[in-house]
Amino acid sequence: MSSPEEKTLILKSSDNEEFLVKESVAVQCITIKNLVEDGCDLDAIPLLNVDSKNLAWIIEFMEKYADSTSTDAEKKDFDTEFVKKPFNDVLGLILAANYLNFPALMDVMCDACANEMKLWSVEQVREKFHIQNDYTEEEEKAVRAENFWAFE
Amino acid sequence: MHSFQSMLNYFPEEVLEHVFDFLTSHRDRNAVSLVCKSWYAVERFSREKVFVGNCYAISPERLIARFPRFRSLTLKGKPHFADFNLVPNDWGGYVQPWIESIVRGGVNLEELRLKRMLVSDESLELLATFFPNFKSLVLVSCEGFTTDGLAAIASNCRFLRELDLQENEVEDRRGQWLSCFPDSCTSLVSLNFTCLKGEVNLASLERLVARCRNLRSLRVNNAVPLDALQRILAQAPQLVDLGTGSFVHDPDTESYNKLETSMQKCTSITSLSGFLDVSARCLPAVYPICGQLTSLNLSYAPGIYSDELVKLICYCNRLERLLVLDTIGDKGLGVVASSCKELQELRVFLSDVYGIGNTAVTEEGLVAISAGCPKLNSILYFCQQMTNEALIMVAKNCPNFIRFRLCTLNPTVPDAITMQPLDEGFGAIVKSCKDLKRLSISGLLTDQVFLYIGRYAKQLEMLSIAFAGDSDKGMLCVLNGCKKLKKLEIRDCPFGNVALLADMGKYETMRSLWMSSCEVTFGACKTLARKMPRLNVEIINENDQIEASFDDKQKVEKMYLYRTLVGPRKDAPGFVWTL
Repeated sequence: MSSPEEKTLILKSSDNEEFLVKESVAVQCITIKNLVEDGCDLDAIPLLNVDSKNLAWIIEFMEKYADSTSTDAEKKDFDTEFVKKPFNDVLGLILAANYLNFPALMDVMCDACANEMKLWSVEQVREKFHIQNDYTEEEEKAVRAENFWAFE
Repeated sequence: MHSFQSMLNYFPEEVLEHVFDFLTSHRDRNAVSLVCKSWYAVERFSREKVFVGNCYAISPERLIARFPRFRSLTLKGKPHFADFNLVPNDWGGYVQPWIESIVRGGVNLEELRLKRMLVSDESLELLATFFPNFKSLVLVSCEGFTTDGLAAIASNCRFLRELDLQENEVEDRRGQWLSCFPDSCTSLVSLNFTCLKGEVNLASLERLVARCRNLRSLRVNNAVPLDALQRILAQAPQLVDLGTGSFVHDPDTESYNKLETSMQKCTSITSLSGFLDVSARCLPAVYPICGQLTSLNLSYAPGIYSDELVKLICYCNRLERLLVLDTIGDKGLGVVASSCKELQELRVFLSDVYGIGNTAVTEEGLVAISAGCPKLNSILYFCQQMTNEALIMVAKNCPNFIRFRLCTLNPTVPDAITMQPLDEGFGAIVKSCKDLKRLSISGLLTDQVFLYIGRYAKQLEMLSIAFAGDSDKGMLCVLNGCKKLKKLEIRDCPFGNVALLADMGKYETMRSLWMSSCEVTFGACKTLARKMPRLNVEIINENDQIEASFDDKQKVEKMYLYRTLVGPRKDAPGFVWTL
């Protein structure tokens, strides 16, 4: 009977690629942890909302964070490099981390996203998030006035 | 594989909120609220800290309606010139209506930070009674309350972490407010009561410090003697920020030796202040921690002269922030320049407030500092004299100034060597320091200096002017050129109606404008008020003359105008007229 630390899981991405991950590493994702604890006995755990590109990155992150020999400084350096991805990929990872309920990755990616946003104008934020401005000119003026006159 | 577009449609609100959690500045949060209506909604329900730069620009009801879940509020009241006694005490800035609304609104207030507001004991009692999770009270330059109000806070705020009183006028009721902290209170992280004049129960203070194991910052008042300080330090070697009380003792005693020992154990102290009453012979007790200090405030220490200051400061090699009196002298500043290479902020205050003698610092001290301290970015400098040559050298040495405030003892003193105005010197400063946000100018100054300010000070947000300029042209240069200007305060300058009325829309892009003892007339103020309904134009007249007797051509003694979303205030006293 193999002990829990040695058990390996098969994670299957939405595009049917399979990844082997140690259970002790994979349970950093609370979604996976719950499946395992509920006694899921499928051959492979299907992650319907995570494609192989994202899953590979997530596993890279999980393995770094599960490694008890990496120091806080090393993790910070890793994070700094890890988040250097095109913005669309940053958003993709945020959604994947949310789906998998992976708090550490969520924090790192949301922080990275916020740091990008701090550098942009309102129009640029809309562009990058593909958001339609649904304010009328009057409404936008009123919000701007309230923001700048009262809350800044 | 989902398309990117459809992925974004599934961006849940809680994910957006998680991203917003990392946007802590109010500027960033204001920006995201403008992206679209759903972002506005997510942002407003998740904003926890609200900053209100002018308490009369908005009402508490509107604040609560927009941010129902806020927990921390920063409020500012009187304009800055109140610090120079130009604003009557009861002009306004009452916190009471804010607290009443916040109570009614069921807000879970945890933190309140007030600057230049009027605070009553009743206000403090409301805070203590209605906000069970109240954690942090910071009052700066406020007045209107007594130690009874502090007693209410101490008695009832079970989770109080921070009580920080800076430069407030507090009436002492001799009620032993500090003893009101119950034995169960162990949560204090920061306690500052330097500005209080009265006694506190020393035994209560020592017990309080002993049981608050998370205490990081302690600043006591003059009534706490050196031997009590020693007992406190023995209990709290973990302190990071210390403000001593009275620092007078016979150094040849056991008490003093014990202090030296206790001080040596305080290896975490990086910020030191106090010395409200000090004997130079006692200063060596702090030498062991000088090498750790990043912040040192000796501006309350009378009677320590240059030689003794220098002996202390030469050990402070990590100093980033230094506040001193001008008793340090140019020579002393030279020692600062060679010892404190990490210095970022310097403030040199007047020791001789009544202007009887000479100050001991001149342009030489400033030049020495600028040459020796490459990281300098913020300065407040009260001095006897200044020269253009010195300012030009300072500008060359320190292009990174964010705040530059110069104050000559004689407000219209010319260049000490050439007898010319100081226009060129300040011109060099604004030209070199591209990130300058705050500027106070002083000395003999013509319209030329304002030409430079308008042309070069593109990031300037706050400008203070006194006894400067020749004509309206000066003020116009500033209003036209400084696109990011938020606060403009002017006294005793020949600026009048033409400047005031040239670009009335400009004032809606600024927080406020103060003009006193200038050439602006009552009629012009009325015109401005009529044409710009979203500005409150206040005339402050303390001579109790009736409104009707004011002739349009009469010059206005004090005018304060500010943009507002809520119209004229209803709490203005009789001597303040909102036109």
